[in-house]
Formats: sequence, structure tokens, C-alpha cells
Amino acid sequence: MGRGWYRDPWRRPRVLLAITLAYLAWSLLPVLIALPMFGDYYTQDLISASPRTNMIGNQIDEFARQGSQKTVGAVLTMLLALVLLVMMFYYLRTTRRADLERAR
Amino acid sequence: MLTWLRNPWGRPRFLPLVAGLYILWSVVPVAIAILFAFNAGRSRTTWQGFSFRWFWQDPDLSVFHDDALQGALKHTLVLALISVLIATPLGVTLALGLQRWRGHGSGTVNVLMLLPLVTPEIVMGVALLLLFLQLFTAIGLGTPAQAIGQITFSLSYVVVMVRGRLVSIGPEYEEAAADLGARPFDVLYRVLLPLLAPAILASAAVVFALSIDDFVVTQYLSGDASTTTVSMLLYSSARGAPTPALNALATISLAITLGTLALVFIVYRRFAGAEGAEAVAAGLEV
Amino acid sequence: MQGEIRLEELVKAFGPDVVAVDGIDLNMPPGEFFTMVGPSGCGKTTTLRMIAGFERPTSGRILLDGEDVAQTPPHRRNVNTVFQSYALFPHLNVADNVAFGLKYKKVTKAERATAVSEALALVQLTGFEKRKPGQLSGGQQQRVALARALVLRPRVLLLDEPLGALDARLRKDLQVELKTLQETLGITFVFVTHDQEEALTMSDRVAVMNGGRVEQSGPPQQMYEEPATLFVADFLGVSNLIPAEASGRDGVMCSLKVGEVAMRAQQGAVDAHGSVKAMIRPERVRIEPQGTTGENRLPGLVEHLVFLGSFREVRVRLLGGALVTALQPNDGTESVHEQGSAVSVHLPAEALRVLPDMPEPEPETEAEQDGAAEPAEATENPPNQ
Repeated sequence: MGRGWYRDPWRRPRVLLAITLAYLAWSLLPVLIALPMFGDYYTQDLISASPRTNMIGNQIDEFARQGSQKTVGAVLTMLLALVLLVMMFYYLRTTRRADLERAR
Repeated sequence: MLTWLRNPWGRPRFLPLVAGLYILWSVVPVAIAILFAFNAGRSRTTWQGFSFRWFWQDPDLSVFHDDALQGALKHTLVLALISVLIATPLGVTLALGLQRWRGHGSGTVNVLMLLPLVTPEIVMGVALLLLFLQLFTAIGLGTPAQAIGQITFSLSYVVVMVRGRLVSIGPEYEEAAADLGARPFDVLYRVLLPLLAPAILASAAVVFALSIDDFVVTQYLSGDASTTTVSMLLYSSARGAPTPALNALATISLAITLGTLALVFIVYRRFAGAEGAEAVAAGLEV
Repeated sequence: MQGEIRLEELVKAFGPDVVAVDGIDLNMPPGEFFTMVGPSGCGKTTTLRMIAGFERPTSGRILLDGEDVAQTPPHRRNVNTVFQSYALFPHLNVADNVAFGLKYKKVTKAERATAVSEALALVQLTGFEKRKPGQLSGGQQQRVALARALVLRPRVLLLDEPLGALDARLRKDLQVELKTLQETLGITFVFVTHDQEEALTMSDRVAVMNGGRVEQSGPPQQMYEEPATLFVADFLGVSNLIPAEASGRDGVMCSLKVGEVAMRAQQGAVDAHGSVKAMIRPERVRIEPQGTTGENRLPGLVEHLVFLGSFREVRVRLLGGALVTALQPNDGTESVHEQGSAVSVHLPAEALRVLPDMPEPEPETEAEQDGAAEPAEATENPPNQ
């Protein structure tokens, strides 16, 4: 964090922070927006409740909240979460690699 | 667009157009909904004149008289208040602790703190539902469960915002305070908290807005009809034949949220001048 | 009120490969203006921070008036710091900033107010009480930081490159102010800077640091006139460093060969053998007409003449290849040497210093340095000037 003798007196922390936060936001944005959308069910439910446009969110909601088979809902949730975790780790790995390359 | 291709350094015309269209696309539906809250007739699609009927005039169906609508509004505000009062201090202490933690678990906990930001709400909803049904059956579903659920994901926002501000402050003020004789608690109270105030205020506002807006987790953890919130009511009534009282409810809810945020902005601007207000605004953009 | 600091075998390692301070011993007598100077990364700031208490030493002792404070937290040490970025609390005005530490000193409100106005008067900022730090210039902020530290009457004041962010003119003014302040108050000042000129002009005692070690410490004049190592000679002021072969003592002087020419040097490591550097300050080099006879004269060609206002700089390329810079005062006489002319470079033996070629591995304490200098001193003419 810039303690002791590493501290460069001329590096203003505010500018560095602004750049860091902006870059963080820009790189995390796909993850912050895309991943939560996987669970969206109420949009479909409100705009078109037709079973033809069913998404996994709808299935989960049906089983977990409305139906009596909560376990099915739970399993579907786990599956969704695992898929998302894999995607997120892949995403993190590629961006970290890209960062390291750029830093070099 | 062709003009842009010919002169990339000229004034941007295409992008602002796209941005403007997008904003319009997002705002117009909301504006229409608000508009129909003031409709004189029962229709939600045909304009029949201006009236405050659905707010307080109609003796049966207006928000002021309909118990279900009022109940939902009250419950929403209660939940929001609880969330803010618990999530904000908790998040601040968490941020301070995480900032100083240099041990072995710190990397993992840092990632864990960010997890709620990327988790789909339904995953959280189902997980919490099963938690309160199977494990914490003593608490069960209802207001406490809803509050706990909301606090859980609001914490991440507080931590992110406060940590950002902490990093930008840097260690120097704490060192200076300690050098001058302040004990660690004094440093916190006299130096850190005043300097963190914009971030704390901004994150409190964010938690408030998040709580009012929240649908999935709140719905999953609600017990009986008394734990309905505005968002749940809007969702369940959308299919039926609701009156514009629903629009009125939504308008009131939106007004409260915007009003609170504006209040926070003004309060901070008076306290800390332009720099504080910018910090709050920047925090709210997160 | 004493204010003496002793550092004994102080080590600070940030992890196994990064040793910022590698076992230093320093003596800072009370009431003096002590400066630690060196290039970036030499460990001077880390040492200062350890004295202040912001870093805990890996090993070693920090003795403040005989008491080891290495494990005491900073708020319980009777030393105060002026930070490089001043670190004035932005949410408090000047008066509250200065009064910050007084809250822990058990003084009444009235006494507090008096102390604050006295401190502000000391730094010539009376009338600025209600201003906020954001409304002050760099120099003013620095003075508030000073007042804030001094109002607590510490035994020692630590200053971490406080003049670094100021422009040259302001820096000169503040150098004088700081020195006067120190002499008036009699508090020990421990000053850190990378500017050797600043160190030489302001201090009563200087320690030159490099790579986590102390190369040499002592009064500025002694450090300048009698540098013990190559690094110190090169770092303080300007030196000519001429490669030479030493062949031990000859009477009271050292026998050297620069190229083919035999010379003698009176200062430094007089008993040295092998490859060394002969060091002489530019102001002691004499340029003489070609062919002048006598000891310690080398032939060369004038490569460059630089007019420096009050001085003339003459750069001569010796036949062996080394470049020697001489500084001649602009006393009205015409320079007899044009560019390209052949001259004789006279390096007076009493100003010529033998420095071992290898970098010095052990840190030198002041006692050791004095000891090494003593025998050479006793046998030389006392340094003039």
C-alpha cells in the first residue's frame, strides 16, 4: 500500500486511485452485469409469462418457491452457481493474465 | 456517422445521440407510469384527466385509505431503515478491518466480500430461503429474515465504497495523529471517521436505495401477507386489474428514494463543501 | 530536556530479500541538527520512521536518552514528526490542527490557546488560525505542520524531506528558518534529505547512507574535506576520482602511480596497495602552463572551458584518459588556457586523497571514523580554508 521506503513522494494517491478504480470498474463490468442476469426471472414473468420463453431462473423459482419440490430448486440453483463460478474464474484468470502481460 | 468517420476529432454527434436515446428508452416508461398515477379515471392506459384521487381522495382504493397498500409502504420503509442502521456500521468496521489485515486469509476474504455483487439474486434468494427453512428455523421467514437477507448483500457495497475511500486517504493522517499522541481509538474517532464521512454517508444512501428496490430476496424470505413490500405488491398485482393506486404507490416509493438521496447530497455539501459532494456523487455511481 | 538518540545495530527487513536498513549504528547528540542524507532507497526514511515508531525494527535498539523505545508505540514516544506531505488534517482548521496533540497533554483550555498562538508566532503564521489547510500555500502548510509538532515540546523533532515539495527560492528561505528555529529552541532535529547541499549547509552533523548502511558520519566540513569512502567523496559535492596504483607508504605520504607518473598523496588510506582512486576537489586543482616541473604534475589537454559566473570550470583530459575538472575563481585575470591547449595539471599532495577502490562493506561509526582519521591528521598539515 505504499509504506516505508517504497513510498514515492511524488506519486499522488488520488490520481492513482481514480485510475485504479476506473480500470477495476471497466474490467469488472461484464461480470457485474452479465452474471447476475443469469438469475433474472421476474422480467420474463411480467412481460411474457409464456412457458416458451422460460429461463432457468423461472424453473428455479417454480420449484423452489411455488412448488413443493424445494430440493429440485436447490439443485438447479447449485448447478447455475457452479456454471457461474467456472465462468467467473475463467474470466478472472484471463484478465489477470492480461494485466500481468500489460504490467510487463 | 459518416461525418464522424471523416473527422474523428470533431464534436461527437453519434455517441451522444445513442446515449440520449438510451436514456429516453429507460426513462419514458417510468415517466408514463408516474403520469398515470395522477389519472382521474381508473384506467392505466387512457388518460382521463389530472387528479390526486389515487393518493388520498378516493375513500376505498387510494393509497391513503387502502390498508394493503399502506402496509406495504410501511414495511418497505421499515426494512430499509433496519438495513441501513445495521449494514452501514457493520460494513464500515469490516472495511477498516480488511484494510489492515495482512495475514493469510486476507486474499480469500477480499474475494468473498465481492461475491454478492456478482451473484444472481435468485441464487441468493433460494440459498437464504433454504437456510431459514432448514437451518435457522427459529428465525424462520418474515421481517427478520428479510432484513438479514438484505443486509447480507448490502454489506458488499458498503465495504467496496468505504475501502475505496480508505485507500485514497492513505496511511498518513493516522500516522500523524498517532505521532501527536492519539491512541488508536482516538485516531479512529477524531481523524478517520471524519475523513471517511462522505463514503459512509454515500454507502448508507446506497443501502437505502438497494433495500427499497430489492425484490427477489425480499420475496423469497417473506412470511405472510404482512411482510409484503412495495416491490412484491407491484409484481403480484401486475397481472390482475389494478387501479392507478398502484402507480401512486410506486410514485411515492420513488419519491421517497429520490428525496433521501437528494437530502444526503445536500447535507453533505453543506458540511464538507464541493469536495464532499463530489465524493458522495462518485460513491453513488458505484 | 535532553534529546539524545542512539541507534544500535538497527535492522529493518521487509521480508527475506528486502533489507531496507542493514545494521546501522548512529549517535545523535542532544540539541544538534543531525541530517541523514543519501540517494533514494538508501534507508534513511525507513530509519526515521523507526525512530518515530511507524515501523518496528527487525532487530536492534533505539535509545532515546538511554531508554530503548523500539517497542513503544508512536503515541507514547516523546518525538514528533513533520511529514513530507505535511499530513495536515483537512477537516480541521489551522488552530485545531496545531492544538490536536495538546488534548493529550492535560492542559487547560486557556493554556492550550496560549500554546497554539505561541507556536504560530514561532513560525510566523499569526492570524491564520481560522483557515483550512486547503487554503494555504505549500510553504504555509509546512509551517503549520512544524507548529503542530513543536507545540508539544518534543525532545526530538523528526523531519522527513520537508522541503522536497517547495520551489528553490522558498526552499532556501525555509532552510534558513529551520536552522534558526533549531538554534533558538535547542531541540534535537533529525532531518532526512536526498539533497547533499542541503545537508551540508544546515547540519551540525551529517550521516551519509547508502544501501541500508551508514557510509560515514561526522560534521559537514569534516565529511567534505575527508571523505572516507568513494561513495561519500562522490556524493558530497563534486570530486575528481582518478584511477591510480598505490604502492604503500613513503614517509608520511602514499606513493601512487597515475599512468606512468609517480605522485604522492598525503590524505586518506596512506598505507594502501593496489588499485585505488586518487580524489581531489576541483577547487584544489591547479592548472599550470605546460612543462612546469615539480611533484604531482600531470600533462593534459584542455577539453572544455565553462563559464559559471563566479567561477570558471576547466576540464582537462589527462594523457592517461581520465578527465579532471578544476574550478578557478573569476578574479578578473584572463584565462591563460584556451580550449585545446596543452597544460600541466598540478594536484597538490596535501589535497590529494587516497580512497580504496572497493566499496566499503562495513558501516562506519563516528568513533571508528575519527580513529581512522586521527593518525593521518596528526602527521599532516591541518586542513586550511
